Amino acid sequence: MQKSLEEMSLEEKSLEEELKHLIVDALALEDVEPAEIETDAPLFVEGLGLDSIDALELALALQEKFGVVTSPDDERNREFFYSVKTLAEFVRAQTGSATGAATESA
Amino acid sequence: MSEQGLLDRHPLGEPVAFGGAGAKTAGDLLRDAARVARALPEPSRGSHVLLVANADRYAMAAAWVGILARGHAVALPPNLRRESIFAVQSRPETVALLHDTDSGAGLRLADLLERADGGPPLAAPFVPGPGVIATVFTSGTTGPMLAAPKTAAQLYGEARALARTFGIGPGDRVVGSVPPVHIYGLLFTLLLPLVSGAAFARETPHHAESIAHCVAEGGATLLVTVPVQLRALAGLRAGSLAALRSVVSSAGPLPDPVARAFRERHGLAVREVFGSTETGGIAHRERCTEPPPAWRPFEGVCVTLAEGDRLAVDSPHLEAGLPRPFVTGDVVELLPDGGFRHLGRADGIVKIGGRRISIEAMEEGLRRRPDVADAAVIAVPAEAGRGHQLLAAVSPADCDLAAVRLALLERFEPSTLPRRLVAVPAIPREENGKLQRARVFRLFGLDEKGRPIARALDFGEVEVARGDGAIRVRAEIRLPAGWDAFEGHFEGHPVLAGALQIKELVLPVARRVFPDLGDVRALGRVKFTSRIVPEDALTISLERSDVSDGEARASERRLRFDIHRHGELCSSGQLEFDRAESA
Repeated sequence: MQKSLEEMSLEEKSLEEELKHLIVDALALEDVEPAEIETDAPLFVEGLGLDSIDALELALALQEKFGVVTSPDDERNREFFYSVKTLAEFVRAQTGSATGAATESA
Repeated sequence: MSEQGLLDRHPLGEPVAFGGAGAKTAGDLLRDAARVARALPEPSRGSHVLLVANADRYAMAAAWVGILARGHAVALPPNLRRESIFAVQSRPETVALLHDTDSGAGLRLADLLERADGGPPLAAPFVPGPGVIATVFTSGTTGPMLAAPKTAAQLYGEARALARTFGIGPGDRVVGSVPPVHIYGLLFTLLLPLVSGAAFARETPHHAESIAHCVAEGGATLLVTVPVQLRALAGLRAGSLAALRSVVSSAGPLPDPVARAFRERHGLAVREVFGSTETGGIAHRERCTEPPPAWRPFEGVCVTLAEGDRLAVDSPHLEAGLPRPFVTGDVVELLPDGGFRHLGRADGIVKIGGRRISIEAMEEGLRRRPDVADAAVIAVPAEAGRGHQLLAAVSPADCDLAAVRLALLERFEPSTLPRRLVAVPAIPREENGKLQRARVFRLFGLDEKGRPIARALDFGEVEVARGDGAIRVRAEIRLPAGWDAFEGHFEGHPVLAGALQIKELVLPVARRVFPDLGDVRALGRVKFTSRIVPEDALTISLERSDVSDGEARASERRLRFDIHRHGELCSSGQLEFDRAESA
């Protein structure tokens, strides 16, 4: 069954919101509200100013929550971790096409 | 063979580097190093070339050898932040900058290595003189950068001792997931292969999957890493690091549960190294049991006890100019068999109710619980003659805090236990594992001196005007110099982070005028155009459609804001709000 455009955009919003909460919780960002994180803004260096340890923590949190694993290519990982938007695309690409694999335990 | 040369165990056709960017032989390295040497200026007494190479370890190796062959010493920055690089570059002894970044400044390594200039390669082995061959800068814990000058005898001598201790030689292939700019990465991932006949991976993989990929593709036998990455690696499938014979960890304490999880998953006991930039490596141990065995001093390192049970070290790798033996800040217990147990840092010792307590010993006590992955303890001054009290954070967030507290009681007096104990998803640490103490203080709502953070500013009179279908709000404020919101972002360069501009300047004004606005739902078109610094006099302006009757629709719970400093725009954007619960 086809989803309406509205339903799809609602779903997208919720994954992105979920990721923003995950970022704030997993990294214990005391001074940041999830809603303050811009979907398109860079998470690392500029923007939120996260560092490479945050990236590892975030990767672990994503693995726990969504069952997704990072790429063997760090260039790709940098692209995935660029913003909430790219993270959402990354999660969607791994869970959408292979829902079964997503539940495999680490 | 000389104890001070590089590449004397690599026949010219043998590999020195492997990885995604292609394999390189010792012959390639000597040819590329000669190209670097020819591009550099004349050396003078004590001259250094600043080397910023983070992307490609082979380029760094060629630059290292080329700089020394030309007669300069190498300067390595404490990190890759622009200010740090600039600070090293501005030193009088720095005569050139060699780098592998996209910056237009200095000499780009990629241009030099690709240039066929027809000149002859260097002859191996290349043995530098007795003076300083490299200065490694470290970021001081409290103050400015510290310079650690190193001779070939120290650096190459230590690399050779490591090769003997860890049994590394021709045929070994080293993957480093730590960059070679700090002393740990430099020694283990660059110099150790270059003195021992082994090869190194050109890239520095960071995520667990990319480390596993690099190990598998390169057939790596040694992985050089740090505790935070070991935690991620312990989550990989068994067999994904099958090529490895050893794993080395340093730069921070390796929690027992991580050491155990990694060992059980991958069948390898992590070899942990204890040392510092000033002393070089001091001791090592294999994490084959919990609790871990005692530290064994490296070959040639003599450890004794100094005043206050502090560890004193004499070793050929000690930095020139340090007193011998060098008394460290580490409190240890020497064991009859020559090993030692690390009890904590001398400078991390506080008195609580008259009892001496090591902050690190308390952290160690917290980490002993199997469900505690990491722990941080801070001390704050306490009233009523207790002296200090401790506050502790443990991760992960679902730790059983009551059980953690009970476990502490087995080892510590009740009066010395942390007064507050919180569980958080992750303990804030630097890239090299160093605890971000300021961020731990902030977990408890304190600044670094243990004072409560009082952020709220007094905006005084707020001007509200209606007209043309809009409500316009204006507030003026001068930001106090010692305002806590400036702290914790860029040391020595207080600026107000973007998120805090909204949280501390825009929202308090909005909340005073518009009680119907709930939580911020979204941010749009936010631009930060000029930095906001202490003592700035700012005008904060808000604009919202005027809703004269009925309840505001979602589109009207939207605010435009801008912040000006004397007519100059600092930031602007749009905020969208949920409805307030009570409105």
